[in-house]
Amino acid sequence: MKVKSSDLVSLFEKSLVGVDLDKLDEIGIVVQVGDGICQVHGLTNAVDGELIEFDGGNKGIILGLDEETVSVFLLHDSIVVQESEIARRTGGVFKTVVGDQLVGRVVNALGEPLDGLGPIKSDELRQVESEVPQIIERSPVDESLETGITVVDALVPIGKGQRELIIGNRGTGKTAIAIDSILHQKGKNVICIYVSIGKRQANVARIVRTLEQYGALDYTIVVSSEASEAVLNQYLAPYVGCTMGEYFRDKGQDVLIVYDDLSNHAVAFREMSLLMRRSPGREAYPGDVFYLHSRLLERAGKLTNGGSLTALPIVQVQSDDITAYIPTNLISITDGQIFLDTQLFNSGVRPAVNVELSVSRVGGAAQTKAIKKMTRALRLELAQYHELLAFSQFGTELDEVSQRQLARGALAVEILKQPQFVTYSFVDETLILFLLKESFLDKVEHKDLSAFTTQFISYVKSVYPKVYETIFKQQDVSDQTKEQLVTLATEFSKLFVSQEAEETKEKE
Amino acid sequence: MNGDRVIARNYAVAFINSFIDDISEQDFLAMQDALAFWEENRKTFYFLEAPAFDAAKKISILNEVLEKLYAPESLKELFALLVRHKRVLLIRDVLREICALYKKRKNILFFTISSVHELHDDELDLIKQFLKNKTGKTILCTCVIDKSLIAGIRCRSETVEWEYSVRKQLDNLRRQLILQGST
Repeated sequence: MKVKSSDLVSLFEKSLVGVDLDKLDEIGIVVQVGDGICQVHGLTNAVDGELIEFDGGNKGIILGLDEETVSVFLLHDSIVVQESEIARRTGGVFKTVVGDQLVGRVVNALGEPLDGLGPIKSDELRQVESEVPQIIERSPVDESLETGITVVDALVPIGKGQRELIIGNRGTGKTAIAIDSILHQKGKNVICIYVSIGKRQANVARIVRTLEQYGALDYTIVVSSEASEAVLNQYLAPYVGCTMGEYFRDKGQDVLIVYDDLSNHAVAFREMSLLMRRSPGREAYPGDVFYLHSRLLERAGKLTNGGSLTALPIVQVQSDDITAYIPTNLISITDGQIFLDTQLFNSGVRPAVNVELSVSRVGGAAQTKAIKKMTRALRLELAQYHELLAFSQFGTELDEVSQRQLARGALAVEILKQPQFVTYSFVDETLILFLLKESFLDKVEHKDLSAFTTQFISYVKSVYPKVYETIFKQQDVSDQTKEQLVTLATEFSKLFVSQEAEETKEKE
Repeated sequence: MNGDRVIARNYAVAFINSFIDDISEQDFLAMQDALAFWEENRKTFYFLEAPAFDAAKKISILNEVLEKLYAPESLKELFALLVRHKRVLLIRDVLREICALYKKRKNILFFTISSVHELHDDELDLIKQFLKNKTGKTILCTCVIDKSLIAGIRCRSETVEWEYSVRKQLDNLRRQLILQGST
């Protein structure tokens, strides 16, 4: 920015006139610095969470008040804070930029752009630690938020305003589920926020590229706090992302926010607590680590103004042990969990959702009627299948009913497999689940299942668009539509040529 | 609070309880000077800690420094006690705690007043009166010349600051311009 010297003089004159001569600034003196934290003597009337400015240009947030000193965590790693430096109270708390201008941008935990697309011009700033919506402002979760992932939408449905935990070992596809859910929101007027906490730069870059490639960045904000950043930034990132989401929610829009992942967030908070010499508790986490996440996730919800904030927190476990401290905390805070199983993942079931350990406590009420009708017996079938599967491994001879159940279960598992970056609309999912429910897939070979379902969807879409539209509009499968679908499926089954048969034909 | 600070505080509390009425404002200023001296010359304590010197020698060195700084007799006695207790390294912490406790008990706020030129007594009285009205405390101060202010004065204590100088306004202006440039 170029400023004329005459402008500078007038600005200087203005600043001289505008000084409040009666005001005493409250200051403190830095007595100890290190590891992103400093102890400041003085600042007698400072309050917890207050923003502090240092003479050297750095800023920090008070997160601990002792008898004689306050603990200030620094926002910038690059700006040096020296011993005996003066720290000033600002009287305010940490705020972040919010607004429509953030959509499509990649920012850090301080709201500063990381994507090289220039500064973010936003007039509004909001406190990152704001109050959660009160009971009177909330409305029940009764509207479905499609993820486009059949197994999730069918068995662990997510409603707008829900908090659904994604939990699993390292490398089981937790982020993939979250990213697919974001990709599926294209054209659905849902603002998505992806908060990366303590991840490697390369991972974040890959996710941003994927979002860009699938056109999802147009409705997404990425908040990134890398592993190498100051621990305070990792602590702040989810709150900053949530504040940005609340801006849209308060405007009556739907928001989907992904916290990837809260185990790193808890680790960052543990580091901060230990630096503040707070007494460590279980797994060295401080006593208030539950409150850390509960106050964040309580900010999600559906409001009476029509806006909603749906949260998909991610948590990593070790050796599929969901009874560790942070996972159990999060399970108890959230409205359900999607558990991703390493064994399933390794055996090729992707998404590796463990149906027995996954649950959605409020999503059932929000599930689309059409899908609900098609999945009534699915969970039971899968449970029976897994039970029988374990039994059959002993080589026991099974009766005909059990064998049929095994075959149906295997079919269900196969049909719920879905490649990454491929999502289905709820009508497509309804059609797939209809084929499964009405046993149209029983005679189809497993390797042809994908082709059969995909071609059936295209067949209904192109040859009988009215049936497709009816399901879409009514969000339900009436008896009449069901009869039509049975006719269509019978018709299609006769037309369908398996891959093997096709190859044989070609050879001939 | 770590162990050493607790011990230092205990010595300071005992000292203040015994001698607070005997310590004048002049003595307090002398103690402040002594503290400033040892903040700058921390290494001296490591020499004083050396076992090569006997206690009497150490006490005489400390007394010599305190005499040059016009410190009260009671402080000399305390330092001698600390030497005998083999707590020479605690002297600085004890002195700091004594100053803090004295200020607290006597409701004193100690200011460093920086100005570009030397202040006259009447100017200083005006500033002291202003600060007293603002803080409601007894004001003690020391004056320093700081040319970097360009013009104006700065009054700084451990907890509050009042500044009306050209440098501060220029700093504010610089911050405003940086802020405008970044948005």
